[in-house]
Amino acid sequence: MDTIEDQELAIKSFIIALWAGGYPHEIICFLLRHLIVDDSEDNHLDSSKIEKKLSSIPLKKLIKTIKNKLISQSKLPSDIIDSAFFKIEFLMDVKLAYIIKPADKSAKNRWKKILHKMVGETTLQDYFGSNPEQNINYWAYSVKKRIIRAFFEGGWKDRSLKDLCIYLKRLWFHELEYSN
Amino acid sequence: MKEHLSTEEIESFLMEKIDKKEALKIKKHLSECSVCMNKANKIKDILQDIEKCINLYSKPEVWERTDSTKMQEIKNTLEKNLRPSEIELKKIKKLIEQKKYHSIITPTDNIEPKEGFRLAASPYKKGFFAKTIGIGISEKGEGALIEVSAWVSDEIKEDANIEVIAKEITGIEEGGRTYSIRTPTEWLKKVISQRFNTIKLLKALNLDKRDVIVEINSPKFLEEAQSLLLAVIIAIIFAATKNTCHENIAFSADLKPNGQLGRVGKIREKAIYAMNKGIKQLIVSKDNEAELQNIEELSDIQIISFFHIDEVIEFLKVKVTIEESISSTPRSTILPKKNTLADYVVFFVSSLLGAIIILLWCLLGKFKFFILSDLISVFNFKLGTTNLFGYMLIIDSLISLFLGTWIFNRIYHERKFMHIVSMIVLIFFAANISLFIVNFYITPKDFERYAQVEYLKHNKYFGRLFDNIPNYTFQKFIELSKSNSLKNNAKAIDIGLKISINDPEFKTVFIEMCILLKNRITDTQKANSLLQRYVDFVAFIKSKKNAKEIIFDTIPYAKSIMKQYRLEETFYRGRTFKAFFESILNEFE
Repeated sequence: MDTIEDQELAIKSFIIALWAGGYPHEIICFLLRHLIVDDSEDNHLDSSKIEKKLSSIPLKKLIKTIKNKLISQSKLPSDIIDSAFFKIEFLMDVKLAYIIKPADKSAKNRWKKILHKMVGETTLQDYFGSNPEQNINYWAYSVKKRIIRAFFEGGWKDRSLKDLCIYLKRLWFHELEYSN
Repeated sequence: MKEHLSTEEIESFLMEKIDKKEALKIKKHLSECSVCMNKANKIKDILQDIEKCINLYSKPEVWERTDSTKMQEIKNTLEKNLRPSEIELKKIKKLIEQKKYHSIITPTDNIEPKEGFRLAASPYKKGFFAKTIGIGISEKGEGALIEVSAWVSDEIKEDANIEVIAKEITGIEEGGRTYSIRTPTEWLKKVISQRFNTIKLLKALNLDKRDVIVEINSPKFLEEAQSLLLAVIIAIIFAATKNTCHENIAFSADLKPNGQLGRVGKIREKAIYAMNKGIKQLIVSKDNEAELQNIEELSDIQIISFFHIDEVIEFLKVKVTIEESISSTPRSTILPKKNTLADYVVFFVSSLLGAIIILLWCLLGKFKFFILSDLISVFNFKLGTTNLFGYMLIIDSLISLFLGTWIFNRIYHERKFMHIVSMIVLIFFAANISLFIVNFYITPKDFERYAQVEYLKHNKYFGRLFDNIPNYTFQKFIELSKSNSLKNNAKAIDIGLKISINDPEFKTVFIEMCILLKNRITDTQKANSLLQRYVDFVAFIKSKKNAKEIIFDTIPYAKSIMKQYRLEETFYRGRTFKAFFESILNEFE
């Protein structure tokens, strides 16, 4: 590990998570659970801490914090972080109803109280079900699973970063055209 | 157990997201199945790589050590290929602006289409059901074949009902507020009911008087149903006529009130979707035809466009035996079953209207020289009946009844102005024909004969009927009347009649004298009366021109009557007839 190939793979998985990982609140939970280190405990944040400390913060603010934290924590060039965060930051100013995936039939009912809100105005609380901690873990797991799937089925581990970028951008356009 | 494990199952197992029992099963399978084991190993490797990658983000030293050239390359790749350019960003914003920022509210309780149409339509009712296929394309481009089932009752009734069952949206929510909308089923109910009254074919099937149930089986919630209208109406027609639609035909068109097919949106996408789903023929409106021309993808589907629903029915070879359909329903439905007082009033007025129109035609028509009573009298005379006027009234009443009923139905149940106009034209036509027949049957001679008889019987004068009869000379009358032949005498009578008409002052004498001559009457009283009139007549014409000629020509008749009835000594105006004739002859000789 620690070779340039590993770093490229890390960037690939990072942008897959941020561009094709799922709904913004799921990606945020993934970032919080697996990438961000809690300064006080020098460990990743657990779900109960996320629920208690961060669940009432608007996602726009939360994503900004995560981005800054990641830049400072990883020492990764900020331009790369910016590019990776471009989509999720953009989605913060879009209504939730608009980003719902066509296949997700139950989402409209599940989130009908916040459908008209901008994604950035919503909080993690708004998405919680009866068991918030379990929700956070599941969302993080879902994103992780999507990264695995992208590597396993899409073969992105061996394909070029350039192709992955082109693919992810096209995927976004497709979502824009066919989402509700 | 399944043959191979799914990626999902392996992922869950590797990431320990399943219970122990299930994990044991998968573990056992993996030990037995090399394919799944390979798959699991690959996923495990990926998982490990990801775990390591994730850890890299908490190790700043790793990134600090990175070759700056390579990092710059990555940065450029992301910058160039991941971040949207200005043009792409504009496109994204435009796409967002075009989106509807409302969410669709679906019913909270699970309304699923009912299983089996026969259950939806009441099993206690007698009827027939049929199915057609429509196509739906959402704004997102998702297609769906929509099965439309229709049930139509056999029973005819005034309070028939239309029911539409569908899984549909109930409202929209925007800005935190919920707005109720007219649902597709409400819209369909209203439009179907309207089309039943405006499209000839549907009217002929009495659909407005039959219970109809339409069930729309859509995999998605219906947002609108305009393009389904043709499929719905065709399903109803199939059910009403007890026909079955072929399963490879789909319909996608609006239906206008006059039966024309209307244009629908996204027809290209619908056609492609239908083709992919195995539909062989797609029936669309002529208005959509242009959009579907020269599309290479549509190689396996036949697009058939029509202008009117009647053409669709003809194409589908629907056994629409309208006569049968109507005959299977009571004819009495032509008349409203429950008449109100207003109905009766209109019925009476319209009946009267028919009669008045015919009468006016008679009075103002081409027989301007007679009145209806004359015509009827002559008609009675010719047929040898005295009650024809009564018969005519009965016939007139029946015609009026029929026409009145027709007008009433048109005005009250269809409210079509053109029907009223056509009715009036029809009434005039009928009246014209009947009077033409009368005119053909009754000739001026009939009037002549009638006039003779009437005169003899009732002393009635029909002079106005003979204005156009040519004049006969008085001389001719004299010649014929002098003849010994009875036939000539009869001719004299005819001429005498005509002359008397031209010169009414002579009429009584000539006519009566001629009749007496002709019939060789033996009535002394009449002979006496005739001679008295003749005396008056001579006294009257004595001072006039040609008096001598007339007197000398007619006096032999009078004298012969006098002798025949032995009236020589009968007194009139102070002297006997014999004395009168002698004095006259002396006077003029």
